[in-house]
Amino acid sequence: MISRVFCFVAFLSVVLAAPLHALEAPKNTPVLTVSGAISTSNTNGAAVFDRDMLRALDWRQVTTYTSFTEGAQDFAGPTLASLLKALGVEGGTLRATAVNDYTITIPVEHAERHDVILAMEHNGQTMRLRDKGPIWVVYPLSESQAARRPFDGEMVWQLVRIEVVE
Amino acid sequence: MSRFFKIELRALRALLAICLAAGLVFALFSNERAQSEARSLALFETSTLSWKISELIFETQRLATGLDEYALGNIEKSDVELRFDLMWSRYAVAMESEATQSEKFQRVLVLVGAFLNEEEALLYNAPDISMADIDRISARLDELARMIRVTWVDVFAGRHEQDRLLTPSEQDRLADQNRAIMIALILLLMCYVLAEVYNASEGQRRERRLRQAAADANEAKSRFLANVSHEIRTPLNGILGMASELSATSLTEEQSKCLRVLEDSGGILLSTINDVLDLARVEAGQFDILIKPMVVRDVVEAALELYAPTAREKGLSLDLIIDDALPPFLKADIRRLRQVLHNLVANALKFTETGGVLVQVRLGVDTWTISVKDSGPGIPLEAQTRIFEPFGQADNSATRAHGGTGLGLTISRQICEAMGGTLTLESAPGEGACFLVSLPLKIASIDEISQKQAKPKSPPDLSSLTLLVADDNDTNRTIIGRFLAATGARVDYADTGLAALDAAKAKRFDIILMDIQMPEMDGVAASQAIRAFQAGAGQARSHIIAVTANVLPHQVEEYIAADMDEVLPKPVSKPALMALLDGLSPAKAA
Repeated sequence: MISRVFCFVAFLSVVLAAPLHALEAPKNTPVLTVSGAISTSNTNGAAVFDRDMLRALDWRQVTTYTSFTEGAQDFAGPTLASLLKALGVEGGTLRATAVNDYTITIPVEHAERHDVILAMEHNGQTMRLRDKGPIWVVYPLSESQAARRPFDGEMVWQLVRIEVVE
Repeated sequence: MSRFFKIELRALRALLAICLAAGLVFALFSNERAQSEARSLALFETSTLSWKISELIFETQRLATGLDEYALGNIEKSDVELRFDLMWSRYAVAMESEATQSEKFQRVLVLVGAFLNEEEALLYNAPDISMADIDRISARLDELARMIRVTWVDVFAGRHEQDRLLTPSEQDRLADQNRAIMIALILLLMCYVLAEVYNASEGQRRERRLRQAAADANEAKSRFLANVSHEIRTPLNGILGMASELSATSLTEEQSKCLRVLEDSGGILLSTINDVLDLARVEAGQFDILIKPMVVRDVVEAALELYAPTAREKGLSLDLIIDDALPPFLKADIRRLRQVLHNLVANALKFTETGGVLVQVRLGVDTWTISVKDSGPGIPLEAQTRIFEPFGQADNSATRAHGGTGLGLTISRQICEAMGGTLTLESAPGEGACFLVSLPLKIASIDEISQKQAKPKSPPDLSSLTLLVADDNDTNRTIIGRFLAATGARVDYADTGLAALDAAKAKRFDIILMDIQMPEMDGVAASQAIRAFQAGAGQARSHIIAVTANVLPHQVEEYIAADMDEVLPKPVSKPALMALLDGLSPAKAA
């Protein structure tokens, strides 16, 4: 009985371990680290991304309003959905952590439902820490929607880590 | 119509008031909600502000320690740049917040901004930083951190509302609007309540006024009744009394005829006046019934006897049938019953030209009935209710064949109903009319009847008694004097209460016939004075009889309270006087 379970687990780990090393390692300064229930990784079971790797994902440009800014703003960055797709994440929740350890829970469905962008450029400028960079989780909203402040908590700036929880 | 309109208006006003109240409640609720929302928003803003400030202080300190670490060579320049950038981001966030727009915060934030801008070249862009610069910058950072903390403590510990002001004027405006609406609604409601209270009190005042007016009118009527009673009956007493005296003398045929007419006319006048006064009494609620035992046959026969001549003259038959099963002795108001019978029989005879009138007395179930059926023209249906109404005649035209005040049936019905019975009519044109009196059956015992039976046949012998007649009216004195002549009593006269008192003081009278309404001193006062005198002088009590037309219960009580012994109603009839005196004659008293 026990030997059977052991065989099964060994088989599984072989099967699952294979794809875990499909992601290439980052060449430049790491910007975002994703851990948890992901299907691929490049560093110690976590997926570390640099700026170029993120650029390689579904890079979009949006003009939107936020409850933290005045007037229309241009943002550019990869969609959260494309990041999750690249990591084989289909459901569950994300624990997003900022540089000052501010952590917020974001359901995975928000990525598709609200077209969440991991904004890295603001009005054409690369976002530095002081500009809420390197990554600001932006939910594109209309002006009236933004006024109601629906996603103030989820729109975490200075994002550095994501942990995927089932 | 206008009253209906008024009721509608009132209902409308009430509805409006309810709507106002509902609106007020709603306004209160929404105000509450808005306020609590504002409060929680304020709370949220306060806590986020605290967080932002504390983050700024934290990053300021981290940069300072970062510089120390860099000086020691423990961290890279890039790490310092990172911390510098972080501090800048915290400064940017703090600047964005609405809560820091106050003067106190702005002052310190401006300094932070200035520092960041000035040192950026060195801390962010330059490849490295000298020790001297590190010291300088560290000192600056410590100072900044301290200033931020001081400002923060100042604002929050001091609880300066205006520094924490965060809700935009939009919310204030709404709150003010809401408050204004609520006040307006409250004022309107208060106005409504006041108006309704005023209306209600007005209504009450009006009601009181009307009630008072009604009471006054009623009182006036009663006073009028009392006056009229006295004023009319006194001279009538004279006429009838004298007529009866005259009839006792020897008269020629001619004179007898004249006298008969006189008596008839006087009788009719008396009965008409009585009817009118009765009606007035009924309306004033002063109608009373005196139930006494009676012999049915005697009363009914006597009533009919009065009209036998009339029937004979008109060639009509007048028959009476009394049911054998009917108990012989019953209790009813004899005078009133007689009144009703007279009225019904008189009417029957008056309106019938041929045939006659049949009176039947029958026994019912718990009731007994008297029916008066005539063979006259009958009464059409539409007139049947009218004739029972005051002054209502079956034929209202000016050329109607028969006279009468039209009160007879009204009063007859009132009398029957007052005795607990009914008076109904069954008639159709061409079939005559049948009036049915139905009264509750009250059987009288033998003892009660025998008490009544003793009737004086001859005037009592009062020759051993002294009598005083006190009456301000000369005629009345004369009449009573003549009535008393047959008794043999020694009679003295007084024309005022005062004179009566003087006479009584001078000489003791066995019996005093005291009129009530007299000038100078009325009968009641005189009686009281006489009683007092007699008590004081140790004299034996005189038998004082009040002689008056005012015999309502409360008036009788008054006489009794004044220590008078009996009441003899006016107009004084000789039989009544004799019956009363008969009880006082020495023969009987012994």
